[in-house]
Amino acid sequence: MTELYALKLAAAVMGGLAGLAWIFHYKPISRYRIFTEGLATVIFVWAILDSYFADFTIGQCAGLGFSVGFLNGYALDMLKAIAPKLVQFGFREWVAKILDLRLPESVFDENNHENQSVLDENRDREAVAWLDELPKKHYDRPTSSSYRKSGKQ
Amino acid sequence: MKIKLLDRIFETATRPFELFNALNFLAYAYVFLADGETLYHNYIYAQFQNVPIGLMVGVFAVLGLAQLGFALRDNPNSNIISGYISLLCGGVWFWVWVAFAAPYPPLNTGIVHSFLMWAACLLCGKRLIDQNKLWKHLLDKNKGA
Repeated sequence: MTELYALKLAAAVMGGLAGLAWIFHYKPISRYRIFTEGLATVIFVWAILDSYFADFTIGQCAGLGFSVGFLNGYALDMLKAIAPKLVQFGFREWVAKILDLRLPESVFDENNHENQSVLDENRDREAVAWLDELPKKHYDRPTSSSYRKSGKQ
Repeated sequence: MKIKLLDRIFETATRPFELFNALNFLAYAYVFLADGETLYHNYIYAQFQNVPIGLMVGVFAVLGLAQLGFALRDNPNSNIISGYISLLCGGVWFWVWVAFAAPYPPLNTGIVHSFLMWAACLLCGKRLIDQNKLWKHLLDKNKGA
């Protein structure tokens, strides 16, 4: 039973990634987007298979994955057609706004291609600062693993 | 080679296929509305019993009307939305295919029809979105120049 489940899941994931690959084959696209959409496809397919595992044969699982890959790959384009400003207003800016972080304006000026290396350095510095901020906000709470690491029981 | 074949098949046929797909959806909605109770007792439709008739009719009618509405408009954004609705319809055809294929054998017309509609919906939606993204890009570029 579990072997069959693994086979079906593998077929569905392969189908999903094949669908995404076909969509993204002809156009330049960032690695970040490929990664996030691949991850989303795998999660969606897994969720559907968890609920309706018994209804599908292996071939149908691949077809299901293919459909989900198509729907995921074009979701952002659909969103852009419905609400263009929502997509232009990127994820980084959104996170910065929610957490009330001030970021230098030049980093987000994508039309300004002068001094690209300076922009990249700024981005790197921002990323490092961002990573430094993280532990204070999210990882302060003691968890069982942190107790184990520090030796307290 | 692959691109050329797709160009050949779906160069201008996306609009008729959208209309055909919308009419198929509306026809399915009408069939389940009119005789759903009787059909549910047929063993070929046994798998459909997992979904209540109201939900079935609602999904078919809403998607069919949406596809029809966006197919009749002609600008890049509405075409992209229509293409995405076509992909969603492909998802529904996939479920219909799985439901018809459950009591196999015997092979029946529902299996073949829904499978072909699923494949055509995906290809048509992909084609529509790709072409209209290009069109939109060219429009924006000309506007800027």
